[in-house]
Formats: sequence, C-alpha cells, structure tokens
Amino acid sequence: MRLLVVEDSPRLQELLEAGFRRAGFAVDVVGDGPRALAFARRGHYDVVVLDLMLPGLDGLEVLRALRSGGHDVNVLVLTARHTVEERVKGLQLGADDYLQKPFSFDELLARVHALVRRKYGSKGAAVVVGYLVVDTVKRRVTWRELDVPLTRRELQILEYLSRRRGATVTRAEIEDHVYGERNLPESNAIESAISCIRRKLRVLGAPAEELLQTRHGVGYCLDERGAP
Amino acid sequence: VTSPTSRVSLVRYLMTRILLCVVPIVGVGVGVHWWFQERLLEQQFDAGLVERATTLATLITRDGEALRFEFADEFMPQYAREERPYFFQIRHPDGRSFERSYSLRGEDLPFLHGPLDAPAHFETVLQRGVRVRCVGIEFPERLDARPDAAHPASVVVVLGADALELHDVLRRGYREVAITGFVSLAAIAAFVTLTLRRGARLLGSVVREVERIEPGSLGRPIELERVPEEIRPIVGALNGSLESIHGYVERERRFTADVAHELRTPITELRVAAELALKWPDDASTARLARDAHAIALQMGALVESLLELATLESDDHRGREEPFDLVALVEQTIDSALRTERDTAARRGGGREVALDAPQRLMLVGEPRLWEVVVRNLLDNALCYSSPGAPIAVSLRADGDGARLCVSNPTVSLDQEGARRCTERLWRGTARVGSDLHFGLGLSIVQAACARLRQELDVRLEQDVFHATIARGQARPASSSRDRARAGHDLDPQRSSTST
Repeated sequence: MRLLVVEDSPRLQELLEAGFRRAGFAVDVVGDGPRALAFARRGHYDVVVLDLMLPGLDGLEVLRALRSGGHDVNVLVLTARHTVEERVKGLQLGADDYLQKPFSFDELLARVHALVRRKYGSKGAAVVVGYLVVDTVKRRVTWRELDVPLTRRELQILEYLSRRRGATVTRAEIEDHVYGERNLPESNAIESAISCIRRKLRVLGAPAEELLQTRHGVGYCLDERGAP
Repeated sequence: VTSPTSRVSLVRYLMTRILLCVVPIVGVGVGVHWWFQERLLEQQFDAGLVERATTLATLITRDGEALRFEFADEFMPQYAREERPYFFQIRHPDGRSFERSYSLRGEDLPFLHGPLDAPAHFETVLQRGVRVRCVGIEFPERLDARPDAAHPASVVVVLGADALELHDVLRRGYREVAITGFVSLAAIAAFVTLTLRRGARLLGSVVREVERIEPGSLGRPIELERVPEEIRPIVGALNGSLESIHGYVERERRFTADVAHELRTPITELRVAAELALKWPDDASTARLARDAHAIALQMGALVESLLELATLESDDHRGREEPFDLVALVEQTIDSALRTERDTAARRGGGREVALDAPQRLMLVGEPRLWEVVVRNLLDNALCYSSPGAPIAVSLRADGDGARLCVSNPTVSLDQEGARRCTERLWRGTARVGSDLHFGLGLSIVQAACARLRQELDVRLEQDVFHATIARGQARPASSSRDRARAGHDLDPQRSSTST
C-alpha cells in the first residue's frame, strides 16, 4: 500500500516515514503544501496523511484543491489545533479521518489500515483468498495455516494483489502502490518478486500458477477461482 | 462620600444630607410664619383694645369745665366681671385720674399713652398678679370718631385686658405650628427615604447585573439603556474595564493555546520515536530515539527560554542597569555571533549568509545594552530564518533623537501583507515552518517588548517581497530626561558600510 505523508516538521517526517515503511507501506514524504498537492494529484496513493499547518499552502487548501479536482484519495488529517470548528471544517472539506497531535503511532497506523480497508471494501485486517490468508496488521501470510516466508517487498505486492483479488492489476499499478517515489523498482523487480512468491507458495503445496495468474501483456491477478 | 475604610450607605448619606438641609429650611419657614402670625394676633388684639378705648372716649362729654363720663355697668359688664375682665382708667392730660373701672379695684394703670394714630401698647401686671395688655391713647379736645358724640374733653384713656387669653391663643397657635412642622418634617423624611430607596433599587439592578458577570461572560457589557443616566459614566467605565479584562483573558487564553500547540508537535515526535523504538527494537531505532529526544529537549528548552525572556521583558519588575555604550560595536558583535550560530544551518541549507551593515563610526547611547542585544539578535535571527538561503540581509543604523533608528531588511519566504500585519503576534508563524526548529514565532514579540523598555517602537512592513523591521524612537512615550540626553554623545562621523559573512 502506498502512502503520502505531508508533514512540515522534518523530524516527524523521518519518524513517520520510518514507521510506515516498517509497517509495510510504500511511503512518500513532502513538507509543504504545493508539493503535497502535486504529489497527491500525480501519485496513486491509498492514503494521504496530511498535516494542516504547512508552508506555502495550508493543509485545508490542499484538501479543498484535491476534492475540487475530483481526487477521491483517502485523506487522514493530522493537526496540532484542537478546536471542534477546525475538525468540522476539515471533515466538511472531505477529510476521511482526523487525528490530533500528539498521537500514538499505533493509532495512526490502525486508522491508516482502516482507510485502506475502506478503499478496497474489506472489513477485517485479514484478506482471505481460498486457503491463502494475508493478515495486513500482523504482516503475516499463511497457506493452509502454514506461514509463507515472504520478504517485505513480496508481502507488499501480495497484500496489494489480495486487496484487489479477482481483478487484473497492471505492473504500473503495482509500482504505484508498492514503491515510493524515491524507491523506483528495477525493470524486472516486480516479475522477480512475483516469481519468488509463486515459488514459496509452491513449496507449501499451493497451486501458485493458478492462484497468482499472469495476464500476458496486462499484469497479474490473484484469483480465488484458481484456489482450491 | 466615602473614606477608604468606612462602609457608607449612599441612601443613608443622601437622606442625612437632605434632612440636614430641609430641617433648617422648614424650621426657619415655620418660625417666620409663626412670627407673622403672632404679630397679626397681637395687632388684632391691640386693634380691639383701641376700638374699645375709642368707644369709652365717646362716652366722655364736657359739662362746662367739668368732664362727665356716661358709663353704664349693665351695658358693659366686661369691666366688672371677675373672670378675664377688661380694665380702664381715664385721666386728665396732666395725669390726674378721672375714672377707672371696678375691675381695677382702685389700682392705677401705668400712665403711658400716645396720640390716636400712634397709641402706646404695653403690658403690666396688677398687684393681684393679673397680667394685663394695655393701650394708652390721648384723645384730643374734639373727637370726630363719633359724629353724634358731644364735644369730648381732651383725656387720656388707658385700657387693658387680661393677656391670658392672648397668650392662650398664642400658645395654641405655637403648638399647632410646631405639630404641623414636625408632621411636615416626618412626611418629608419619609418621602425622601422612600424616593431614595426607590432610586437605590435602580442601583440594585446594576449590582445584580455586575454580580452576574462571570469569566465566560466578560465579553458581554452591561446594557447602558437599562441604567439610570446618572450612573451611566460609572457603568460605562466598568464596561471599559470589563472589555480590557476580557481582552487580556482572551489574549492569555490564545497564548496558552498557542503554547500548547507549539508543544504538541515535539511531544508527538517524542512519542512516535519512543513507540517506534519499542515496536521494532534495534540499535538503529534506539540511536534515533536518543538523537531525537535530545533535539526535542533542546527545542522545548529554547521555547521555554523564549517564553521566559518575553515574560521578563513584560514584567513590571524588570530593572536593568543603564550605562553608556557604543551601539555600532554592539550591533557588529551581535551580527558576528548570529552568523556564527547560523553557519551550520546556512551550510546545510545551501550557502553562506551575508549581512551588510550601514552605520556611523560610533553611536553612543545610554541605556541597557542587554536589551539592545536582545533586539538586534532577534531581528537578525528572524531575518536569517525567514529569508531564502543566500539572500542578502541589510542592517542600517542611525542616531534618532536620544535613541537610535535600526532597520533590518531581508527578502521573505512566503510572507504576504496579512502575514506582515500579524507577524508581531506571539507564536504566529503563519503557515511557514522554515529554518531551524528553534524558532517559534516569538522573536518579534520579544523585540516589541524590549522596545517598550527602550522607549523605542517597532515598525514592520513588506515592500516588494522585502521585509523591513525598523526600530525608531517611540512617539507615544516621553523621551528620556535631559540629564540622560546630556550623558548620551552621538558621534556622527562619516557613514561607513561593512559586510560580514
């Protein structure tokens, strides 16, 4: 999953970026309003974590510009201000959630997960595709209750594919949601990661080719119909 | 009206004062009225005596050389009765007694008399203790008062009446007047008291309005329309005070909220850093936590220091030592110090900083050099923090009366006219968090507070994306004493320009 963190405090930027990366997200970080607007318009982010006090362009203005431009990305607003009016204003402008500083990182992470689930229409933290279970909170994948030992990048790809199970996901979409602006993949990185995932599934007896299908010239599809 | 320690009732005070004025006025009025009434009664009494004496005189006729008095007791019983009788004695002009009433029992009345148009009125006491009010009239040879009378002789008629009746009437009259006076005074006192109490009820309504004032309702003034006109100035002044207190409380509330807001971000950083270190414990996260905790502690310490500096400058207890000093040297040293501190940041932000100083050779002032250092340092830090990396900063310094005119100019980063108007507000940084973490939007507030101490004024303006902060001699407060001015020597040597980098 890919996040855009918009925060003007450099130290908090670093901390949030590190925390979200450790939690399995691809993260882009910007520190001012104009860049935040440009990144949010250009990138395919699952969630934008948006601070309100920003140099250049206020966070609420960024939100207004995004919504008026038809962007429906989930936005979680962070603010040091605590007035009800400001919260109401933010929500009325189209914020999906609101978190007041100082916050707990775990709470922020839980809210971001909730927004991701909301985006992909799932209720729980775990996505089930036949015998394959992808737990996005525990960062764990199992096949018939056996752990699939995936790397962080493989887990991110499988998590994204599981969120969009049944749909064909293009290589570009995987790049957009799994890799940040500063971590663009090598030309064959995605194919290599998919191959590794299939191999690890096969070791556990899973029909990897049927489960994680290649749509030639288009992309990949995690399909439950392929799962027994 | 009040002494500082006494508890005075306004109603009681006004009532006392009004009664103290009214009682003498009513007393004098009653006295004058009574005096006129007394005179009137006496005149009426005396007029009766004169009439009776005249009547008696008409009964006197001349029979040759002798006088004859045609008096009949049965027709005038009042001259013979025991109870409150009338008395008369008729004399010749030489004083010889001719006739007297039986009621005198052989006594003489005093031989006092006057002509008919100015009779003598007097009082005497008979030997038996009867107090008699008399009139003595000398009637002329021919008395024309009674045309039908014979030719009366020239005689002196002294006629008296028991004065007890007159004095009874006077006493009764005195009592009535006194009672009327007392009743009037009591009625006036009651009316005044009632009226004042009714008036005081209006004050009571104002008191209740004031009692309803709470910290949350300081912004709602007492409605002047419902207040008596006489106390509107007091209520107006009270409203003014309430407004000031409300403004003060509101400023303090905003300030507290702003301070809390300033602390929220570093606390968030500290909390997230600690949580990440606990969630994924490894050497890297522990080292990051230690580094971040140290930086955050420095940041919060700097905020506290700035707040304390501001509080000290705004405190009435601030008393610094005044001494003569060279402001140019102080500014040069402060620029060097600021640039040394900025050097690391400037290098990090992509280039060294340049400060151009335009100042005379020397500028001697008498004042608190520490305050001037605070002013110059904060203006420079402000300029260094909120200008583009590598942008030139200009400092100009001139003598200005017994103070100085100092201007620091720098190109701005994302500051508009609204921002320039609000930039002296405490903790205001607009939407710009640029430069170091050690800037909190307090610099210009500190400069403003220091300027108030230095009897200088801070003026800020934005012209063509260049921010100018100017310190000049204030107009609002009086200039320093002539003794201080004499001690201050302004050296206006030829201008010099220097550049520090």
